[in-house]
Amino acid sequence: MSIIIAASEWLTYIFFSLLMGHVVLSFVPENKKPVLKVSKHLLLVSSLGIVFSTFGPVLQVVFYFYESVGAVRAFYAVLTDFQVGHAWLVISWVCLFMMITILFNGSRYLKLLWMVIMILAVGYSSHVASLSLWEGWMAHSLHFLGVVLWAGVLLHISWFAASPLNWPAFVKWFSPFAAACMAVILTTGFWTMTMVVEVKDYADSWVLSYGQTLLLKHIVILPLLLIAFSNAYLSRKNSYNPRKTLKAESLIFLLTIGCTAFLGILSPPHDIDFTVDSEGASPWAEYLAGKSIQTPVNLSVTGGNVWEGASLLILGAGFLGMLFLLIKRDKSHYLTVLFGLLSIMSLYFGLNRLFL
Amino acid sequence: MKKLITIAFLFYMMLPAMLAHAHTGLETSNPKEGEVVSQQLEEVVLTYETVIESLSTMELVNAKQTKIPLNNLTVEGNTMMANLGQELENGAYSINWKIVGKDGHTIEGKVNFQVQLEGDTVADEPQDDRGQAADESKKQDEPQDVKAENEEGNLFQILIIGLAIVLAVSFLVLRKKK
Repeated sequence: MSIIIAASEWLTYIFFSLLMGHVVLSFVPENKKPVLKVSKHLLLVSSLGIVFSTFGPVLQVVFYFYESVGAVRAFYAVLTDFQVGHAWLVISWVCLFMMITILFNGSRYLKLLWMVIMILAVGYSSHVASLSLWEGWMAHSLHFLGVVLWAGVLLHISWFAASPLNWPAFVKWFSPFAAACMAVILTTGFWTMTMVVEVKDYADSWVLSYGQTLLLKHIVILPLLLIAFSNAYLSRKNSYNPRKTLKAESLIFLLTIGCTAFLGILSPPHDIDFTVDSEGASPWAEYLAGKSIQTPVNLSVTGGNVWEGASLLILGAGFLGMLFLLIKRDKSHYLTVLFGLLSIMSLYFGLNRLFL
Repeated sequence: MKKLITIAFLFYMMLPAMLAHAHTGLETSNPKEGEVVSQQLEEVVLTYETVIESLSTMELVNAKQTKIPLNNLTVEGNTMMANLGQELENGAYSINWKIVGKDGHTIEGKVNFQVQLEGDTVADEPQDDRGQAADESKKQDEPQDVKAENEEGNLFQILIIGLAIVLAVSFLVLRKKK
């Protein structure tokens, strides 16, 4: 059940990115982007898909309570009392308007308006908005906006571009655009994280599934940033074709939002020691540590096997270096993704081995 | 571009000020964490930093983790309260609470307190028998752990060697094609 809900969140991010990419690129003049072969069906399916995929979190709450109060009352309570329920009602209506606008080739400004409303609705339903309404709402909406702006353009350009490609003109505006989005994403990402996990508790949270997933997500972002920066750096040469790198980047992006979707179904840690006492540490973390985890949890750099941890981190750095070399040599994007995965694996096990 | 960097830098400088504590945590409670109660307790009141959902719950347990019944559990605004169904004997207790945020996520926590009625002599149980239980289970687990640790070590060493070979080979292959 949880897996279906995580999958639906993952799809939500993809649908939003596809729609946002379509809207953003409609504001870019023809000579500054490749010709895009996107079928109207894909956009319509994405809008309709959002109605179903954003229903996942609603269903999650209903499942949580239906045993105690019954399915009908739980469903009614979620739609009327909970932010996830409100957001879903808004999103469903706006998706309908969006579909009509796409179907009749309506104004791009109207489409942009629908997107902004839906992004605000997603921010409103977020975990951080339930902790502190205005601050969390703003931070999560900005974070989500940054992600779908950047990823939307990325997905469209890497998978739907056709000639004339206009690479030099495209890269000229895309690099600063992507950098600005990244700055917003990282800042607001850090901001929302500190609302859930305090910075000093960050390493300690690794004993819980939530902390492990958050760590994995942060590590996945490293090769993503490296690919993006190599792309920006290499694209200053006119002959450079960024297509393969963008494809690799979009595949790693799908992995990142996979981690985010998985975070959505896990309970955020607010009191790590208490959670370890009541629910136990994550079995996976205990497996990585090779011992059972006791409270009070206090992880430090020398907590695990220093030699193995350090070797794995060095290997991870080596794989990141290889990633740059692969992009420079213009190798297949599958090879780039493979080495991205190898660096993620080394860094993830390395940090765990060092601390746990 | 310079402007953009300046703006980003300013944003970063402002960030710590914006990082207010936004935890839906317990603000205060009666009894408080670690409090020694000397008069008969009639009700438990938990006050949170934000409004909580009506589906939130709490339970009172003694040092042996036996539940003590609570009556009339009510949630109003940012407080949750309940009456005690019986008089409490001297000893350590904890209130385990579980609140539901507006987004449907649950947040859990506990308040530990002790009852030490006036006039009674100290007849306290050791405060934390959970710690003892954990110690016992630790002892039982120990032989297995040592074994697991060894297997683990081997696994990671094999992983390190494998990854090092992949890295070295791929580096050599890519370097040649210059």
